[in-house]
Amino acid sequence: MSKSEMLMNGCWESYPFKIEMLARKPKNQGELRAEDAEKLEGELVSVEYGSVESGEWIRLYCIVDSDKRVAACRYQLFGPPVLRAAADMAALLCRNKTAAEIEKIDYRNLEYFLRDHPSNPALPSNRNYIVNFVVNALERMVDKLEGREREESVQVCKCAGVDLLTIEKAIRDYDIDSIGGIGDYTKAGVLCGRCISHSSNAPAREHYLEDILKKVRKELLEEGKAKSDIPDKPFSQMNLEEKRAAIEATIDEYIRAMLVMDGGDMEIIDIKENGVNTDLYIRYLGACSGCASASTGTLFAIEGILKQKLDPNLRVLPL
Amino acid sequence: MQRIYLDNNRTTAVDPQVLAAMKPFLEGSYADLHALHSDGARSRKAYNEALEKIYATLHAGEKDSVFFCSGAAEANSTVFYSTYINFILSGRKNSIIIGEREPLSILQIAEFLESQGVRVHRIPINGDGVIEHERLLDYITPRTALVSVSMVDGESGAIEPIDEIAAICRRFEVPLHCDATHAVGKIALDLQSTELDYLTFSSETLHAPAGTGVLYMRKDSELLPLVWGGRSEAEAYRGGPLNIAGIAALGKAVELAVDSLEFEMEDVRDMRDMLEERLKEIEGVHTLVPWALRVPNTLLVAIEGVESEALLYELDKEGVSAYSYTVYPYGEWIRTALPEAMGLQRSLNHTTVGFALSRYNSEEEMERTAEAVKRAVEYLRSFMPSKESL
Repeated sequence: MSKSEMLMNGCWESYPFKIEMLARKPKNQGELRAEDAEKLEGELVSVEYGSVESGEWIRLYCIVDSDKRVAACRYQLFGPPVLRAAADMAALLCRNKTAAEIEKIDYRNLEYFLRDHPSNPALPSNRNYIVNFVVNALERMVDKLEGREREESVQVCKCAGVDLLTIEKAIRDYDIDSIGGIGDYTKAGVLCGRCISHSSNAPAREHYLEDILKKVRKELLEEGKAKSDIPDKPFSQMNLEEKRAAIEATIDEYIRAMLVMDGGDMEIIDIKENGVNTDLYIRYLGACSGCASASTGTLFAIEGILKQKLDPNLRVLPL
Repeated sequence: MQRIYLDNNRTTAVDPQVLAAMKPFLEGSYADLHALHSDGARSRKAYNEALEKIYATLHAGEKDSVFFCSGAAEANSTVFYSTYINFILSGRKNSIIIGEREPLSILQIAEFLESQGVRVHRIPINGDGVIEHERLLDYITPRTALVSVSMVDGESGAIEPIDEIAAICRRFEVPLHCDATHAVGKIALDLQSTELDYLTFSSETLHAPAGTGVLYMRKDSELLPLVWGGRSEAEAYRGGPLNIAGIAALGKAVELAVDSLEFEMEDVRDMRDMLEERLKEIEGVHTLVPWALRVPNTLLVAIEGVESEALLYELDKEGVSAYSYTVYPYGEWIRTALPEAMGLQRSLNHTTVGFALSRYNSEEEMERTAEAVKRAVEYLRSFMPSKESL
């Protein structure tokens, strides 16, 4: 165990101010009814996720207007204060977005929006499951908005009410490699622990976390081998094509989601080598074009992330 | 605003008299129990006094032994390891029986011993939250190495039928161990009438600082130390210099708790009952464990549609410190939540909140607590759909 694990952090007193404020004074809770939908001339959609039996339950309400945008979003829930904060933030983020845009709200964005400081995680790792819970609820909302059917899945952890697909998805999304990690992100296996592995004094089950983890890790390994088109060498030694792939991947992973949350986006126009420097020419799209911060804060953030992740000699030039 | 502390089944405020008893060993120099000089004599005097008090309050026999360690968790571990090595590894006995809802120190070591090949049976609780002692007969054999049942459940305050269990253990000549951390000072305890082989308890629930525990052992019982290095009988089962200040505090605390058991626990019971009555006025509040089967200071409720941590959070804002075992990852989740283990509806699993009183609480505080719970329940239920639309 490391020092950071030994320190007693992660109880109420060390939650970020933002979570505390949202938990104390949530603004988007409540029910939306057919009358509200009529008033806003939209259609009311609601989804439920979780259960009171397992400790977390949420019902999300959305009113979708004629432009297919969410005009209002509210929630009702049963769960701890952090869930209230996360749900409130999610409801806020959903407003004025289309289903496709809501789909882009993933764990990383939602967790990022709950942070006080960009570099400090909002929650201790054993509470990641709460943010993930809200993300899963949003996913169901998007499915309903888009009219997609969800695949049926068997329940693996009965205490926390977690199904097989949720666990498999979490292992893939968060690159989980331990049983504890599954518990952190889904709460599966942390309560009675009977779903972790087969034991002689309990009735046998169809699925165990250990087997699921092994199976998904194996699949990930095989896919990883097939997919790795970004060569495993320093950025400065890559050719232009490889550089473009590496930059695209970094932007997709670390930058694009944040721009999209504010209704913007960016595209790469050209990449040029200029001595030791690599110049990246970009164009802002959507709300980002013409935004005052596009040539200051946002630009520095993009450049900072690329420099940190790829190469200190990278320059970003917006056109 | 003065905070209201209702988490007394975990730790309690230190009594001023207890503080006075330990003060001489905290200020200035204090000596080792085995030091020959006069300072050592002072320590020995305090140790002897504390030991006398504990023998007296437990009604322990002259030939029984009582020794000090760091707490009930260590004492429990000593009993279990010793049983494992003395009886099970040697092949004399083969299984251990514990209650389903023992403290974590016992559940975890039982699980560990299970992984080492020991057969561990767990006696379930009934609808009243009390161990079904008849079920002990399903598991017990003359080859059972140890039966371990807490005297009182720290979560619900349920008083376990120890006399009945002790009678069964006598019949099969199986040693019985009891964790009495939540029983000392709450219910009458007489080791002359209740025949136990091992009894353990801690200081922190007795208005003394945490860090001192007692292990009582009936004469002719077998035990191996868990911590080695004892220099005399006093340290025979627990090596290392003893915490004299803690022992002096525990001696005084036990004396106070047992002396005032009659009248003070009556007062605490009255306050608890008042809080219970007030909380029952709220719709959808279930008290777990019947009144007659509970220690006087504990009230555990399950409130429909109100999540435990959310309620604790709201109460904390109002200055009330309560507890819940069901908050992951900070609770003491024991395989199944208490409502489910008692056969109640599963939707109550995450709704239990407990209030454990002490002699330092007042009626006015109960009034304030009840009001705070009412407000919090109303607020938190506003996040839930009305019952009809669920």
